[in-house]
Amino acid sequence: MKRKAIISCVVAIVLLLAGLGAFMLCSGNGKQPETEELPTLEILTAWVNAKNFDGDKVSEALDAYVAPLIGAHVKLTFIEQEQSWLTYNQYAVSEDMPDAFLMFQAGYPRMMYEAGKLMPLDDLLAQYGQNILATITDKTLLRIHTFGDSIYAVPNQLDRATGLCVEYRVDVAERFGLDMSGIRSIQDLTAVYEALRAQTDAYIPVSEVGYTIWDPLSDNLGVLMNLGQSSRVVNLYETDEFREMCELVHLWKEKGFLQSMDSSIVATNVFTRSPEFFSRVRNYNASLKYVDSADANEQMECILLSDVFTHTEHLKRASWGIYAKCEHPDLAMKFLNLMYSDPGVMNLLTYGIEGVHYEFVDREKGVIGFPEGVTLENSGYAQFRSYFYGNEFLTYIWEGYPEDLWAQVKRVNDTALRSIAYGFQYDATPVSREVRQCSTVADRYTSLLLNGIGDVDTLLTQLNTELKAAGIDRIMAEKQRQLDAWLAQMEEKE
Amino acid sequence: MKRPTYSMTQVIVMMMVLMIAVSVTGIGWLSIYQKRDMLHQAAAGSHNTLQTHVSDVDAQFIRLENFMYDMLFSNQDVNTIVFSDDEIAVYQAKQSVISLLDQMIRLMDATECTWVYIPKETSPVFLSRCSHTGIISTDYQRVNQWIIDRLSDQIQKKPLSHARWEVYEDADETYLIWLTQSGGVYCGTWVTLSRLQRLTENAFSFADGAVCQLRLEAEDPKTDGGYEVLQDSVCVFQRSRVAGLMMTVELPQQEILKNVRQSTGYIACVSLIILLVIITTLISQSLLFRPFQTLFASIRSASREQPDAPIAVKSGLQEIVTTTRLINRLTAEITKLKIDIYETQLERKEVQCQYLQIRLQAHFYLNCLSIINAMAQVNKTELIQEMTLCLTQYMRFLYGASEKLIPLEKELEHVRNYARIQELRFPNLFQYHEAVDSSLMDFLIPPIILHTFIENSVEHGMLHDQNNWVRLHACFDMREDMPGVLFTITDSGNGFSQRELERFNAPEHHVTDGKLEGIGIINVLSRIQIIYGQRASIRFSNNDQGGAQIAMWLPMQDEIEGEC
Repeated sequence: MKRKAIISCVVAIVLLLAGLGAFMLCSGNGKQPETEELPTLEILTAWVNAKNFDGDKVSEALDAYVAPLIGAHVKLTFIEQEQSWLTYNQYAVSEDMPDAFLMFQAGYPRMMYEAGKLMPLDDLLAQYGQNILATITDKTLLRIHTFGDSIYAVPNQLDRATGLCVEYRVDVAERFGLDMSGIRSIQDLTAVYEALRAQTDAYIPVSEVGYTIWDPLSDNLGVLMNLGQSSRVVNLYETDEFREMCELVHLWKEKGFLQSMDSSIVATNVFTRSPEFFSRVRNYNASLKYVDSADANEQMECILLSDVFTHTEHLKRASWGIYAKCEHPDLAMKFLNLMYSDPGVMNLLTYGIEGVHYEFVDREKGVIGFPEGVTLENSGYAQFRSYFYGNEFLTYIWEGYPEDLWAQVKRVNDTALRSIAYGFQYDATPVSREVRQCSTVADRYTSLLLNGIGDVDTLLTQLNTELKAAGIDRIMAEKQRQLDAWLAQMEEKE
Repeated sequence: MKRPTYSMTQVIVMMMVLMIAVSVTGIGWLSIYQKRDMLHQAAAGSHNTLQTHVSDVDAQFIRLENFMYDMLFSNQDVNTIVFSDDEIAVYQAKQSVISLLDQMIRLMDATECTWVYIPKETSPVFLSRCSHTGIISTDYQRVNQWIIDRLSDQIQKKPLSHARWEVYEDADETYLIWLTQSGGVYCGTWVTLSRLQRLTENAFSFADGAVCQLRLEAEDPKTDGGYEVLQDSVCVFQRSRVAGLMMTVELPQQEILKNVRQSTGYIACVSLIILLVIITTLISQSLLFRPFQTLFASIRSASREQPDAPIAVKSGLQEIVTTTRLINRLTAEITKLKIDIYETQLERKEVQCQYLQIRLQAHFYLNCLSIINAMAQVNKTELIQEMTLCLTQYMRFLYGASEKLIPLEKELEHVRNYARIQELRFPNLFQYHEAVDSSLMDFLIPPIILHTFIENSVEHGMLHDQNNWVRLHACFDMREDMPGVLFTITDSGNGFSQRELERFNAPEHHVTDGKLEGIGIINVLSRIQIIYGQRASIRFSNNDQGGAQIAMWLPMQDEIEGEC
């Protein structure tokens, strides 16, 4: 008995000493890197809902998921969507840039390319971007951000068709007995707004009016009308469609249906976030009403008022680029590649962490919703921005979306009309001086026209006179020339 | 007063308790002290952070004010809005003003809304821009409407003060409002307190759970800022001089101390060491102390119950084994010594008995009486007289003899008496010669020693057919720096047999040898041994003529009180 006690005592001491030694060893080595430190990729994206934002947690979760797959740590940086232009202006002139970044406006890739911040991706795509190449089978789409001969940004895989639509709050329409089923054209809305205004002042009928039912050929200076089905380049500001839009805005402004721009929150998602707006007139896309319903936490409906079509500019909406001086372009491309092929990555980026920000409603069908106790108000990652990231068709279906949403979107993508200039890349350099002058003129007048200021006829006449003086005809001639050449080239290929 | 005693267990337990108490108190004190120190440092650091943040916010407020003044006094667009009736010109002027307002809120995150109010009679213009910080349009419009209402009222009542930051509360939000006016044009800015709180909390993003509170301060505050260490949080506060707001941030202590977790490691180390010490003590207790305790216990019980029994302690400890063996040997030796002493005492008693016996040898007197009788038959009266006189003196000496040392002279007298008696017994057959220096007469000597030797020569060395003699010679002799007297007794007899020589010259003599033969000599030897120990020496031998020779050296010992 005694001997046993002594032995156990000795064993205990040895163990304690060993433990102490190990403890000291550990605390001594704790600060040293494990074996080989993996490089860290900084990934830039944007947030749209900053309440209780859990960006860091999602970043950590993403890193844990991605690091073993690509051999690099990733760190997400979120910028405010509304202020993104500040960030991109900064990037244009500085060297302090993320390794891979989202560009969610059509103009950003060109801006970044001209500032020399984008890396040509052809070789990287061939080597590390197999899944991207396999996903984007449409060569036009793949080469949509081509400058010179190289691809500089990869477009996100999302809805590609657009059109004219009115989006409205179903609840409001029902409450005030507004008949939305009879609406066939944008002009029909006036009666609905009048009916709403007759009953209440609590709602502003329209938050914004802005749509494109022509192919803008990149800058609206010389466009293809009729959903891009005409091959003749015309001056947008002389068309009936544009005049109609202006007149409607003026009418609504006069009647007080429009939000006053004097005192407003100018934000992309102000409509969904502000329940006092009844509707907005805007460009259509297939998943619009679902994402907005989730954003607003109430049912949104969308009435399509034109055929759906797709044009080059519309394809440029969201894309990803790699910084020209990125130290590990291979790893950055591997990460982009994952965004096009790995549902885990896509769902983390879109919906956050399972069990924290979302949980399964129906695992088999891939339908998810908020976990118990989590709401739009207190969730740390209520972003719903699947279209910010590579391939939104890999993401789960949020509760309330149709289960076959992505199939629907793909069907619309495949069946939509295509502008005859689909894939045409216009080079404005031969007429750059005219473009600059015309843009200034057009900006000044469209700001007035689309805000219902002044007299439409007078302003349009003035606008067109000034545009002619600034050389819009030369621009249109150059556009027409390039387009004809391109169309001839396409025909030859066929 | 009895001095208290402690057992080893008590001492060890006491020491352990003391050690643990001291260590625990020490560590506790250190850790509390350290924690408090760190808390204060962290709090001061946090206060610095807050101070920087507040001065940044103040700077933004001042910039906003300047911006507003600038717009009021030197902006042509405002004048255009006021005075022009041209719709397009007014619109463009508005756009220009709005873009200015927009710039302000984009450049300064300490404000949420900037506005300009131009109460034109025909159509009042209220221009404003709001940042995208989560304000919903409804709230935004409501606050602005409130401002417009108050400004319209103001023409009569002046309810809103100018050029200073004021707090306006409504149902679920508190706003910090600043405005000014010039020439009928108002401009201003506002921000929700929750926005300022969020900004402040963001400045403390290193500590989760930082809670910021803002409240309006009195006009003349006692302090501009500082910190306070509370129960389980740290409270830092700083006043915004521009807005007159006291910003208070409560930081949980564990968040502040997140980065100083090493101290727990240190405490853990110390605790481990204490644990080790305790275990070591316990082990030494079982390995060292307990065997000793067992040893002491067995010694104690042994001394109480069986003093002579060897103690048995099982232990692997060498010292214990050695000590046990030593104690057992000592016990054995003590026992043996006790027995020896007992035996020696017994022997002494026996020597004394023998001595008595020797002194009262009856047959000698009977012989003497029968000689006297024979002398009477032949009428030798003179001889009878002499014989009886000698015998009387002889007997008187023997009976009066004690064990005390006597002067050599007395002994010699006695020897001469005896020799005379023998000469009378054996006329012409016996002669006694004595050669003793007169200076030795005071030398002290045990009684009846020389007599015994002479008697032995007479008893055993007398030959009936020749002239026998016994010679006694004594002289002073120094041996090993010790004065002494050498006695030599020589006779003309047959000498000692070989066996007798061996027996008498042997170093040890025991009265209990059992033989009556030579008992007188053995008794003498025993007595000399008792009195002188090893200092005296007696040598038995045979001389050249075959007679016996005894050489006895006795030290001069005045101080020794002979007992034999």
